[in-house]
Amino acid sequence: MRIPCPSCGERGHEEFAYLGDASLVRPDPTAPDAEARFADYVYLRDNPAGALRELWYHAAGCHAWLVVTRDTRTHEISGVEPAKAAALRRQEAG
Amino acid sequence: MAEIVLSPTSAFAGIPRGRSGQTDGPPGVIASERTDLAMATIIARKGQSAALRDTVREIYGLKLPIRPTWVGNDELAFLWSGPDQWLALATGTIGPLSPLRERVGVRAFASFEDAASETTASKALTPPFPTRGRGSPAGGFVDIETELRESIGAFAAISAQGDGRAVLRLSGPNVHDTLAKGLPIDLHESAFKPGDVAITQIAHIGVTIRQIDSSPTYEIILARSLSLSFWSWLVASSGEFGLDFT
Amino acid sequence: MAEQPFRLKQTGRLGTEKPLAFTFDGKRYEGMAGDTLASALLANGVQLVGRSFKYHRPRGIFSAGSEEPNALVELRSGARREPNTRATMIELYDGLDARSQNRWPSLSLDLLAVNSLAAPILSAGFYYKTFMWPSQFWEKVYEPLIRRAAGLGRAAQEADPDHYEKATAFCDVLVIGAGPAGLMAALAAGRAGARVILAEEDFRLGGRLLGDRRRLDGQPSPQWVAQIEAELDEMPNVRIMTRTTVFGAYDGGVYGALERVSDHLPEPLPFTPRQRLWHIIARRTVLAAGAIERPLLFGNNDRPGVMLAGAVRTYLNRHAVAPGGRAIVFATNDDAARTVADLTAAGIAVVALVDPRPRPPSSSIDLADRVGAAFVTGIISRAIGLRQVEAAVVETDRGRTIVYDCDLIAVSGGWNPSIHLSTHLGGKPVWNEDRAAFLPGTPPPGTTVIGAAAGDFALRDCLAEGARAGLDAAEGEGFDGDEPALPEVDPEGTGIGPLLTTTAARGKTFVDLQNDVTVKDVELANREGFHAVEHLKRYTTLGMATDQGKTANVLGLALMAELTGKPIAAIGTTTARPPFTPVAIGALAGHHRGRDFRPTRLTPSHDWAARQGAVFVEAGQWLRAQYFPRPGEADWLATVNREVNAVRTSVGVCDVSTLGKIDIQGADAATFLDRVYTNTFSTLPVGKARYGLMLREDGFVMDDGTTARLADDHFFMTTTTANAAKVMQHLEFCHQWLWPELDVALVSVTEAWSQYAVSGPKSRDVLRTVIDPEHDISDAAFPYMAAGAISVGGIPGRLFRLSFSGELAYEIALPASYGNALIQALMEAGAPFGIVPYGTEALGVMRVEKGHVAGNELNGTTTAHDLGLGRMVSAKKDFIGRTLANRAALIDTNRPRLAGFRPVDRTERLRAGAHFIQLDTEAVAANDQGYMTSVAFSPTLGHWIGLGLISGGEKRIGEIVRAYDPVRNGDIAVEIVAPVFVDPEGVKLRG
Ligand SMILES: [Zn+2]
Repeated sequence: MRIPCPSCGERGHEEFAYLGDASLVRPDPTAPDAEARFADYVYLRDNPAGALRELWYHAAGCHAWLVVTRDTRTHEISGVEPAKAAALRRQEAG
Repeated sequence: MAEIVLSPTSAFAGIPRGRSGQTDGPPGVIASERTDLAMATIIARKGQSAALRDTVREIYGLKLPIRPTWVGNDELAFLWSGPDQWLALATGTIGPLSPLRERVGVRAFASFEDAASETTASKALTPPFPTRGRGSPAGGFVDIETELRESIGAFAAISAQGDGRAVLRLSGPNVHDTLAKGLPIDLHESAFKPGDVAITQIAHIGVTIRQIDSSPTYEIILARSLSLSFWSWLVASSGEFGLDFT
Repeated sequence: MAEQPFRLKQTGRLGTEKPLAFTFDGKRYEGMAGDTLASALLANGVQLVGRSFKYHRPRGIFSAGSEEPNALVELRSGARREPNTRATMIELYDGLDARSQNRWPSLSLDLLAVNSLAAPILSAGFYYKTFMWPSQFWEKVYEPLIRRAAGLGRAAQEADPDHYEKATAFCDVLVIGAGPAGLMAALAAGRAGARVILAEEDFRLGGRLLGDRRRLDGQPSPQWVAQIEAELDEMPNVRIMTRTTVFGAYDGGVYGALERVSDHLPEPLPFTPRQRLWHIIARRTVLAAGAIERPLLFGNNDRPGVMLAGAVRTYLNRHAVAPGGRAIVFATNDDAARTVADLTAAGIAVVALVDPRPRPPSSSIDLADRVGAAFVTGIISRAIGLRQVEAAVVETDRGRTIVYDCDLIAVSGGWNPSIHLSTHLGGKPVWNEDRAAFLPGTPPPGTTVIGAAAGDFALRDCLAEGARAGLDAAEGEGFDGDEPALPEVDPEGTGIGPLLTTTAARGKTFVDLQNDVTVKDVELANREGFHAVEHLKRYTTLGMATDQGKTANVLGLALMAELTGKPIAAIGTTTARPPFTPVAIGALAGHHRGRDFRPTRLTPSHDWAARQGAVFVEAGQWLRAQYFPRPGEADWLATVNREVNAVRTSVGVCDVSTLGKIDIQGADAATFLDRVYTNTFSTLPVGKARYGLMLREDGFVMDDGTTARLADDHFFMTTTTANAAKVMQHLEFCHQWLWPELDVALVSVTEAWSQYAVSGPKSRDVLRTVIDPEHDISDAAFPYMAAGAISVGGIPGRLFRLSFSGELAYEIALPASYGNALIQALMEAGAPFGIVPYGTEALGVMRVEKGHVAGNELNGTTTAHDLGLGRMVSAKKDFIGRTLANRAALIDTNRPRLAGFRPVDRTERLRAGAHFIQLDTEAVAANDQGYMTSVAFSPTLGHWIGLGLISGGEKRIGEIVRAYDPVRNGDIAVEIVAPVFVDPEGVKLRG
């Protein structure tokens, strides 16, 4: 699989480390049910067939975390953006 | 006890110079080590990217690249090394705190920067003051960390990398054939040009590669601790063409 | 040396006439340059080349390509001995030495052919049925027996003396296969200016154009090929890779290919690899891999002398070899006429053309008439002959039986397009009734399948599709060009009959030649309920041999379709996976074997340590000095004891450059550290270091280390050697994804510094003479946990007053290139104090003596509380891992927690890995209370000590338990003690 890093260009997947679902948001530790939320956050994963936004780390390249939109059935990558930009956007959205 | 005198040991100091691999005819690959380099990582502080680039341009006459390329010359170069991150390379064995700005100041780079086709051609600048030899008591490397902290520290975090990376220049008619045996990126002239930089790996060893000129000459920058493993790969991969280590 | 009785004089297209000598089964023969081992053997009349896998049946050469199921030989000898090499793929070289395999005692007299008589027990599923009980018989009886009786060649016993390489290539258009379709595609794309790679498995370009007598633009086909090859050769943008098999298609236009660089030579030229594994990264791909001819089913269809019709023509036309003297042709298609014509042209008598189609083309009938061959509408039911075909039994459609004397049966049951690469990414093949073949379904993105691989077998179609596809691919990548003009092609018949399975076969009828799977086996599988293709495959092993059933699979499916009364389309196919043909493990490893298995990192003092005779140990990627033996020391323990004693009584030095080092800067650096460490760093004064503990989000410990504050907004973090990269990745994740709003910059500076621990009561005295005098390192100016800038000989560096040993100790850092000089300066300065270098063993002993946790305890399953580090967990702030670390089960004090251990009988040795069990309880898993994580012989105390995780931990100090170590027959009583064995008050640190 080839992943187009927004900074480095297209590279083989062996340069990247995989983390997983990028839709997960670190829960508020002060919430009354924080423990249950963290348990979900750390352990529970969906396994969708189709497009999934997921986190990859360009470990052998620019050290950027990326949000890669990948079809889990075909490995087709339809979008990549720096995770930092996505995270800032998420924060702005509240 | 007598006054302490420390001499540096370069990353490839233990490797004998000369020919290896196939010895018929001219070598397919020519390698040379760049020593006496001082390095520092520059990372733009939050929200200071533009100010940092302006200041570098003002002080050093160089445009900090925003994509994987490099600017500068053999005396001082800035290599893109990630989003908002650069590696500064400066030649060493010059006094402790050198007036780098004077040596590689705006004037020296004026024509260099505008000549698009030559953006990265090396220009050997004559240092304006005598250099000190290796191992002289007060010798050492350019204190690039202090230099950059003073010049751009307001806009960037400066981290000394000392001489923690080994640097090899590679050229010769079979340099592409050899690099193809480890480097997973495309060096074809349509894909990689003088002035380009890539951070990747060769034989599981993290490297930064930059193209120096169109002959083509490349520079490979890697972790110093891995230099012998890298050398083992280079010797094996260039063997059929012959390698000359100068 | 034998003549070459079956070499044809007139039709040779070998190119040169250079004779080459070779031996087969010890007998000397002569072949010619351009031969394969198969063609050279045939030229010498050698038909019997091996024995089959299970029944030891005599086997000959069946094909002329990589699909060969029968002619597997052992090539070369000694360390280069290579089993299961296809004779059809071996290029002849002078001095080639090959042997038949799987025969005993000799090829012609094979006593194990008696297996044939035991056929009833060796039928499908016999493994599952016969060897069920008793289970220990597997290892001792059944397996050795089966291995002796059934099997393929023998691997070399010695290490492979050759080297292998891996390489990467990029192109706009990858053309796989250089037959007529591939050649035209490469030409079209190349002329348009695209970067083209043309990969061909054979050592010559041309494909069927070499094996057939065709005319293109009035020229013989090899001449036309040579002309195209010359033009391609001239194009700098086209790279022709012969002897290169593209064996796998992967996501994103990545292909695996194996280049057999030196397999055609006795041994590789100096500095040249035997094989090179390519990663080809292609923007577009044209798959023109051709097709593999299908055998036909009849009794004894495995006898030497039964050969695919296309292979017969290849041997005649390309290699100038007569594969027999008297032939019969059995085919379901119009292509048979070409076989008859070529045989006749070579002077080989064709006794009959057997065609089962009720309405055969008149051209075939006329041709047979013209050459004096009988034309029979019917089938061959059986071959006669033991080691070689002697006759064929033909059943006509009118119910007659005719026996034809012959020594060659050329068969063609249609073609299986080589669609393998189009299915590697999940594309499902589609059955096409007209062409009686599976055609590619949805090929991978950017891939076009053309020519015979797409089921278009006519030459004119192959050429036209190649021209179109090559240009399309180039244009898709932004190049402009014209479609090359198509050559005029001689006329050809293209009729193909349906796939033939109904047989009146008598005798053993093979579906899978290499795995000895017969029609009966498929019938048995059906009777026993294994109808699904994947079940059929595994039950009968059909298609599971080294040829992956290239000639067998479709026949097997067709049989199953017929047995179950379903159409083939409903049966489906098994999944083709890479590699298309076998790939040596050596090629997959490439440069990375032996010392180069993975990169090794060397410390700045490595060369110096090696000169001192250090013994090294791997620590992650690093090689670290383990201990420094001196002459006269009895064993490693004596050395380590000396090193420990030196540090505890005077001074020692240890290279700690391998620790991960991360520079952290920014206005929010302190905030950032507070969030990633369990303890607080925002309160750390500038010029001080602090021990920090990091958790994973699930609450378990990830790593530990010290972090120093160099300025308000500047910290210097160290990590364990093993976790350096993992911690960096984690911090980047926290910074870029969790808290992008923080002003913080992170970068690894591990390589920048050579760093030495100088430890022991005399460490300050040593450093005082090394560090430039303007730096005050007195206890008052530079107390425990101080961090600051120093210089040595004018070289700026850093000093940290840290101690892992529990002694007065420092870590001194200079730029990496000065590490070699610094260790020598330290040794010189320490000489008056008897300074010793110490390695990781002594380091480990001292850390156990001090109860410091390390990798054995930071093993991913322990919490801060488990390790006795609960006091480092702040309750005042959030940090990674805080919420889940507080789960009830994780703070349960009965969890296995850190404690110290000493043997009740102080002379006994402790063993890491021993499990703790209460006294007088049974040593069973239910009674397990934890285990010993680290042990050391403490020269300070004079006995073995250990750290371990035991249920309840320090609550149980004073209790005696069993340390049970069944692996090493250990079972001793140990006392639970506090985990700090030496100087528990930490007096020595602060001296
Ligand atoms: Zn990147």
